[in-house]
Amino acid sequence: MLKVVKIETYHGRIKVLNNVSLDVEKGEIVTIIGANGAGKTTLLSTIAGIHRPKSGQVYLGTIQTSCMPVQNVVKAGISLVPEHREVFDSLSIIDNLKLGAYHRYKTDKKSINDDIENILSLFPALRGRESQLAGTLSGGEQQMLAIGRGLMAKPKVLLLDEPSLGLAPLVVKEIFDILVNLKKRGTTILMVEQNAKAALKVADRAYIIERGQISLAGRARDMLQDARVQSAYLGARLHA
Amino acid sequence: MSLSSELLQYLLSGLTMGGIYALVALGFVIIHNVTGIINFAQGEFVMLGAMFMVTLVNAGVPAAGALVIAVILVMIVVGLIEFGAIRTAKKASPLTLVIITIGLSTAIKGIALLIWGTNPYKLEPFTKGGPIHIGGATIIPQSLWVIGTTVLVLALTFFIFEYTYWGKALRACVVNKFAARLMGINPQRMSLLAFVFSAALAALAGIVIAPITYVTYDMGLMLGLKGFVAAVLGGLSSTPGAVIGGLALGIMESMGAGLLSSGYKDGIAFIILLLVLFLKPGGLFGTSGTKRV
Ligand SMILES: Nc1ncnc2c1ncn2[C@@H]1O[C@H](COP(=O)(O)OP(=O)(O)O)[C@@H](O)[C@H]1O
Ligand SMILES: [Mg+2]
Repeated sequence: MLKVVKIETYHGRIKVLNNVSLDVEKGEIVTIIGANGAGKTTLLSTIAGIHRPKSGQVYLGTIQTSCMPVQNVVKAGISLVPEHREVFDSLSIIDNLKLGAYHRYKTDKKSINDDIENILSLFPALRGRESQLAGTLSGGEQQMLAIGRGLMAKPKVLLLDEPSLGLAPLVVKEIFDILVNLKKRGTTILMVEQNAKAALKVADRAYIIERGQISLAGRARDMLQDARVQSAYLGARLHA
Repeated sequence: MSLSSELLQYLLSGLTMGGIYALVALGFVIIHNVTGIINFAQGEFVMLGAMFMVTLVNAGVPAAGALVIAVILVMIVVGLIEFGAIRTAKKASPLTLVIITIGLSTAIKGIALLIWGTNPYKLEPFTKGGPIHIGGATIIPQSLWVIGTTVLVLALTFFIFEYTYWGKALRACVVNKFAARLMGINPQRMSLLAFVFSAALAALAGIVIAPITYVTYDMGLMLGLKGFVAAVLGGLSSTPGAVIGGLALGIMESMGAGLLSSGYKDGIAFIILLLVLFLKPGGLFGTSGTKRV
């Protein structure tokens, strides 16, 4: 479904992504684990069309999206839920959701109310507060809104940039449970995380990114058992 | 004339000019909010509206039709300008873009001079009839047109930003440009929309004020600067602020000119600008933290 081939992305003269390749199959949750500054956000931004890679390609199905402007990438079916949520604080919840459907608003007007209804059933915490300003929500609720807004684009692949960032463990669990729910409904998800434990528990497959390079790839279940992963990302001590 | 009726008189003429300033200021704020540019060609859009109107009316087009055509013409001209001069320089810094708008302003004025010359043109008031007396003061019917148009346009603007999808997409750009891009909102299209919308506001301002002030190729300079002062007074990023700033400036000018000396009229705006910039750079009503259209 989503295929990233040998991407190299620069910030100015600094090479941030070095020969990164990965793929995501339809209906999978794939996670990319990495420390702060490893290049996770840059990778998702490159896939979403915000940064242009110096070399390499991104394919969604058979369409090459890596040369498109952001709005065309969204139209093609890639939707990014950014780091720090970035909701429209001074707009209402309902307006945030409606704006998520921007690229299909003209053609798909009739279905939008039904889609909002679906999102609200997925995130009951937002229901009944549709006219409340997004800026007044708690961090967890804002994350739910940001994911809901991303889903309103009806993407083929949903990209999530550190959905657990700054949230209490219980809230993280609530949100990751929703991701599992989404997967059951057929949504394909590529998620980057520093919270390796939570991410590996819900993911099918995982990649480890270190200083802009993929250093390990495999099934998430196996990674949870992997000694190197445990010591570097799961806070476990190596057995003597 | 008693002092109170004199004050009422100044208030009425202040509201008339204030309405015009408010419309121009609103254009400044909308463009600034969506693109980050301060568009110093805004005053020339006012002039173009008035010039097109006069030209059409003199060519025999009925006033109502001329008004619609003149506004649309200005929207088209400004759309082309945005397309040709602003968009092509999109990668430039905001300061460069501001300087480009100053250049545009000079260019538009120069072209207007070539087309229309230096003579002032006169536009007949929209309705005939003598001054109307209100509590010891008098107001000319055209002033009522100005005030009525201002109220109507402001209500329409409010409606667009508060209740339409396009208005909300514009607000989304203002609130969070990055997130707006992620929604697939094309920032270039929004920039065009902001320029064309502001052009319509400016053109309307020029058209309704034309019967009061005469129309000249250089009328945009003062109206543009006053509109800018009004926008700064209102905090430069708030639409209600722009409206209140415009009305406040109009009233202060008219009171200052009436009570002190009419020679001070134009100076007042610039004294106010300096005072605001020194003492309250966020504007009188500036909510420096949150930006709202
Ligand atoms: N806009 C930018 N300009 C220059 N350097 C950047 C920019 N964004 C990120 N970087 C650098 O690129 C590297 C990767 O950053 P990022 O992709 O944000 O990592 P992560 O999301 O994994 O924390 C870091 O060294 C960071 O300092
Ligand atoms: Mg990051």
